[in-house]
Amino acid sequence: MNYKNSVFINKVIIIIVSLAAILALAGCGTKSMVVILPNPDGNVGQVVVSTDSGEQLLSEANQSVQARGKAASLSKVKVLSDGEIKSTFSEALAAQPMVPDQFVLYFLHNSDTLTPESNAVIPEIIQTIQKRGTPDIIISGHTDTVGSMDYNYKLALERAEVMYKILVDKGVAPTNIVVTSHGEGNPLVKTDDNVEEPKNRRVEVVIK
Amino acid sequence: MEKLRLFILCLTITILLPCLAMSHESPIGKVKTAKGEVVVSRSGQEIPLSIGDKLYQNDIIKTGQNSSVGVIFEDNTVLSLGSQSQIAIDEYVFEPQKGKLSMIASMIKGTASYLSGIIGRQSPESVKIHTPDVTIGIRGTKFLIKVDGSK
Repeated sequence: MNYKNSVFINKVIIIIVSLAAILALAGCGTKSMVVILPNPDGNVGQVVVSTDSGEQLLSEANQSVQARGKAASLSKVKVLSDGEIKSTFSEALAAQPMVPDQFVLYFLHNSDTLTPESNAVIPEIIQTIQKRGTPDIIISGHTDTVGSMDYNYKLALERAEVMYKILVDKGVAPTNIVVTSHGEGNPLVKTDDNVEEPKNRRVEVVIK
Repeated sequence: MEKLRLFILCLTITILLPCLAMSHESPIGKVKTAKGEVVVSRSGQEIPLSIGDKLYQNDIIKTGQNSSVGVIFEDNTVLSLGSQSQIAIDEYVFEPQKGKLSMIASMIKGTASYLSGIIGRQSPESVKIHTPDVTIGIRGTKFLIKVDGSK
């Protein structure tokens, strides 16, 4: 099982929006353009652009829409070429930080021990930390929705602390790690309250 | 003696107050790339920004000519600005453990690239980016999740 893969699939609904609010040279009006780009994984999300007079859904790669002033109606949707996008947005795109690397890890049932599959991911985590050379490593604990919010906050924090120990034992500088708990508030699989979901009982390591 | 005590008390308060004021305002993100003239307007003051600097709610991030900046927020939202751009982070709440998530920003001028993070995934309706002309919302209600695992 490739844990990184599962996280990439989880990113399906993540979207990139590029927008330009360009002050028109003549007069006092402004003009805005919004372009939707594919996610880093190649999928395209959805963006709704609205003014007082209507709204437009963008859901295909490089679709753009423009508007001059809140009262005006939106332009027709235009698919921009890569060249057109580059000529307007090259600076902003070049300034984009590297997208954070995310790893999802699971523990054996009712235990402080990682599953063998998750344990096998540790070397890749260490490598990624070294490769990115960043001091921003975030460990977050997560639970399913069984139990109260407070209880789950604490339980998830305990899981994250176990992961912290594992990484520090492997030589990661403790000062570079932030340990947090998302409790039941950031599930991988959305469920109703009080639903057991093993996939949500996890720890995530994000390297920014 | 009484005066000394009062003096020490005042001194302690003077030292502690800024700490207290900071403590309830936790950082919302960090500058990860910066080129040229990049400043943040915070409580009426303009402060230069460089890589590693923290950002807070209500910050207005500004770039000058031939300048750019890239930020990663607490929820992994990735935002970058081209030159002569300006964005205000009007509201940023990332408390998943309490079910509180929101990000509202106003792009005042220039160019930006935005890649949504956990807030956009868990609570797309809580993400709004305003420009002088339009409001941009995220519609991420479709969930396609596949987790390979236990054979």
